[in-house]
Amino acid sequence: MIVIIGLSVRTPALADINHSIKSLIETGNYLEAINALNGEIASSPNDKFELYFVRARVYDLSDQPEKAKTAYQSLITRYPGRPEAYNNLARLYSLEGKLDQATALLRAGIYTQVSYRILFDNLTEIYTEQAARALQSALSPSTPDASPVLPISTLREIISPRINQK
Amino acid sequence: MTLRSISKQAVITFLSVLTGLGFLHLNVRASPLDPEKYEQALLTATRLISTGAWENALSTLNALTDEFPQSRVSHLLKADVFAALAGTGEQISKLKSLEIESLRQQIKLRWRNHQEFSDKNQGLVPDKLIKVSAQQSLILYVDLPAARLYIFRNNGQGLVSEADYYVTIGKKGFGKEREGDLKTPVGIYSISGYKPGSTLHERYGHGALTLDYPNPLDQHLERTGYGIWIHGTEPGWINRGPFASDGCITLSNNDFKDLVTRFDLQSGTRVVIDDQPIWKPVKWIEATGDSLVSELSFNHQITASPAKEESVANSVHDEKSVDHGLTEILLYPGSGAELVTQRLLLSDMQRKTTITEYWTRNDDDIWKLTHRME
Repeated sequence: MIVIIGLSVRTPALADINHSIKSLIETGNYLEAINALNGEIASSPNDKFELYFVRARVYDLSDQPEKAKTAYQSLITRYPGRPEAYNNLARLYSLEGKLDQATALLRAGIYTQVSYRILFDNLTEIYTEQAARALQSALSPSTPDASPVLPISTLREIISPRINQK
Repeated sequence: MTLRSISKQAVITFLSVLTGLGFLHLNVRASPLDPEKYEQALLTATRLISTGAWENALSTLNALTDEFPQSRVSHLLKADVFAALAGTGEQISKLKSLEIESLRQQIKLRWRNHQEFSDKNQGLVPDKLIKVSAQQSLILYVDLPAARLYIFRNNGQGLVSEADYYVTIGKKGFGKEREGDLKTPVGIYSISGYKPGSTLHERYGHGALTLDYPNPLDQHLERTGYGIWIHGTEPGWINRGPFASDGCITLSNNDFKDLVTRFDLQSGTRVVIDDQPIWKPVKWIEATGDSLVSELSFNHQITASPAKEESVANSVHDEKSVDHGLTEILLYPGSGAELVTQRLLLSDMQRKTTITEYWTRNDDDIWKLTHRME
């Protein structure tokens, strides 16, 4: 468990997975790894997010992008509050040049966390304002480039720290 | 496109964005830029933007706008970076205001010149500059399509490019024919004087070099207009867009200062304004020069152009002058002539005369003298 700015995000890592599966993946025995993961998924009584996630990654590693995409999509459906699958699915779309789908997924991934969503929206708000001011300066630089002192009143405030949504 | 896959911490990606921002803020005040490095910094920023290195691009651009608050192209590039970060980049790139378009053209021309032209031209010389008179220690050359003014040093063993600058030309482009047509002339001119900015309207910036447009060939072709100068830039701008003058060739004030102070610009310095630049290896230039010298020998010329028009008739050769050879050979850009030469004549009285001759090639590929003056 890692705690950062009041948020706790538990994310899967290969280290969390059964040691033998880990070594199967590391040695490139993807078919056997997937079989082992399927077994774990069938038998494990615990939360299976990590197992599904690693299986999706193994599909990706073993050059089965369609299976990986389906797997990430189903992770997003099952665990809409977890950002990881959005990111990795976006990555697969970006490899196909489908940038609009990729950006929509990345944004949705950030929006899974309320605080991140506010941070991200505020950042976008400031960038947009900076772009507008720089454009204004491009058209008439005689206007003093006073952006550091001109206030922006539209940023949202974070009211209370939120725990990661599940 | 290389998006990072989440394999460890979902938050690390996001944190690295925040760290990047901290880095950005720490670098907002960069060290002051050398004025001569203006274009170099613009190109660096453009390169960083093209590779998506937003933070470094912003840091370069902030240094630029600190040092050159009037640099509209720097502000525009900044707007591009912020818009890209905000995810609204396409909206800005689709902005069709004429002023923005003109700034974009300026950036594109500088970038294209940097990318293709400057590398390609290493060791190459414009094909118009076949033989520059030994009296001319330097020659100015304007590559109109690339919006560049070059200074070549004539060191006796050929031409060496010493500097080049982005320039603005007439609102309607080039190929001047009439007064008020807002075009820059194409042809070969000479600097006729220097006027410091303090003696001129502020729109001339740091000063002006006056040119002899319309030259004798232009006058012969009944081209009109006057006051075609090479000059600095009005207040409020570093550079205008590529097409913004009434026909003059304008540089940034810093570049203009560099042009007039780094070199001993004499009255009479040639300015070749070329609409169709072709860059050739020095060997080609030398070979072409050699063959032109033999084709254009004095005797040949008289037989090649018998009973030529009145401009030939009143020339000096009836004074029993001796041809001392071609001192200058320049291919003539634009229309009206294909070649201009300077020929040194020595009279019975040991009087030296330089005559200017304009030539065209006829259907049989023979050079014909079309115009000559003392």
